[in-house]
Amino acid sequence: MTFDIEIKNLTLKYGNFEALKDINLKLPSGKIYGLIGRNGAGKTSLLSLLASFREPTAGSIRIAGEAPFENPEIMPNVAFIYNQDFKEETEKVKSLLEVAERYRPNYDAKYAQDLIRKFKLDLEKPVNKLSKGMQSALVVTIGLASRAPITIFDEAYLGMDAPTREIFYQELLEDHRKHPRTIILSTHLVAEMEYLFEEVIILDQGRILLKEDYESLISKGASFIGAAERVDAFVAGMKKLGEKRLGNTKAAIVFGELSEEKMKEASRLGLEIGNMTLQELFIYLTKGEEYNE
Amino acid sequence: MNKRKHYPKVAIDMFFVQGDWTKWFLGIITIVYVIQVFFAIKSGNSQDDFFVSSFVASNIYMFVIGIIAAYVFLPFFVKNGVTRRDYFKGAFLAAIGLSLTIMVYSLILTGLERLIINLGNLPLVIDNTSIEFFEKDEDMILLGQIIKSIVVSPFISLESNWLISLVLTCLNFIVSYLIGWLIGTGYYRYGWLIGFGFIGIAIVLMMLWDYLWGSGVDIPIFGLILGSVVFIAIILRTLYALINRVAIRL
Repeated sequence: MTFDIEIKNLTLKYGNFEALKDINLKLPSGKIYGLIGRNGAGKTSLLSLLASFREPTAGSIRIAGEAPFENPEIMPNVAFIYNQDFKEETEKVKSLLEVAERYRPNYDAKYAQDLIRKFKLDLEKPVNKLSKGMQSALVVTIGLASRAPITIFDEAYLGMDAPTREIFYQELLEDHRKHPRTIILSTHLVAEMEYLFEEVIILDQGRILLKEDYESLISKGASFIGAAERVDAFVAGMKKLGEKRLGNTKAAIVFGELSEEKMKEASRLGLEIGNMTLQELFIYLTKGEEYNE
Repeated sequence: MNKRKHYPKVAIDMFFVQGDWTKWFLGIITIVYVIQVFFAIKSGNSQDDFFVSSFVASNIYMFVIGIIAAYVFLPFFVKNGVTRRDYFKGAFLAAIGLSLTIMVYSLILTGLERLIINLGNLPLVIDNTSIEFFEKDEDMILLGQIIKSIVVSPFISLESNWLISLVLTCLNFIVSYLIGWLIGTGYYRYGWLIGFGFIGIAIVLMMLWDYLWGSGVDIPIFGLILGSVVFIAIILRTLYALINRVAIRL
């Protein structure tokens, strides 16, 4: 059974507010997807539909060819991990892990132990007594160890310090390599996480702005650094994502298919060529301007 | 593909988690009862037996954990990939288990109490007539009847017909739980304003339940059991209709 996701004409309304508008998306199983969007773009709405927390207003979702909502074959195989409110959770860390072990068919207790050590989680501590960062470490542990064929991390790292986030990212890559499955990472820490993504989905105001393979997306842009007037002349007429100036040196980031001649010209002009980052593209695209593929 | 049935797991887990709370509840009412007995002996007053004495508190207790069944366990299980349907079935089975547990505990303790009184020749007079105070309601005004319906469930004493008494006690616990569960679900799904309406529905249900078993309606026992099953089935159907498509808040 492969857990491909297929979303057709999906719309979600809260009262009169349209949170998701006519979403069409195919996510073949086994990849790490980055779902990025600004606050209120509809990321969490989309994810909670995948996790059967709610039903769409219109359109359909198919996971492994079946409608996931209330489907006992699908729901245990979709883990939606986010920063839960644990203020009232007096159970110990241990018991939450036991619950996951009981209800997640692919849960790996040994791997969970591994992660607990790495995150330095105290099994005997009541969950509401953990720091925010430790609570995140706990949900991430549950999410990774559940090994659900579809695992969703929605800003799951909140409160984690940088070294802990790094452990999370490394574990995620490592475990995904050993046990390929669909992982959806929803985030606005784009700069920090973009190297994890195999495919990128940008959601803006309830619509899919783009969905593309990370490598090919990134290769469509570049940054050029050099003397201001040369850079200006070079990038004239190209789609500029942004620019920075320091004294007479200027950096311009451009987007669009860059021809080989153009690249050669840049070298000839003595411009330093660098990569465009997904972060730069994301900020540019969701600033409110039109994007034509 | 093997069909995984999750509801027995849900039933067992909910039974044990709620069972943990129930241990505390039963412990406390037992201690309170022992203190009551102590003072009854000292002052020479009569005392209800444990079965009668724990009855009102147990119903209220079941009502309260019924509310929690909606608020705590529904989102908890869905977040763990359990369908609403499996949660629903599991929670109901757990409620039956808890009702039986409380009933059996009351029964054992009441038996123990009699044994101790007889063997120890304790100067304690067991008098279960206080419960009749609740049974005579012809003089009550409507508000009084409503309050009575909420606080006290219909009761048949062990002495008059032990089997019916036990069946009714157990049914009472289940119905109290279901009504709490209904209010909790109504609130969870619709928020406080419409949720308030569910309190109204709950009061009507409690009065209907009282009317079925109490107030001297002359229905044969078979009819009462059948009526109870239909009554419970209607609440369950309503509950499931509320639960099966409910959106889970993050």
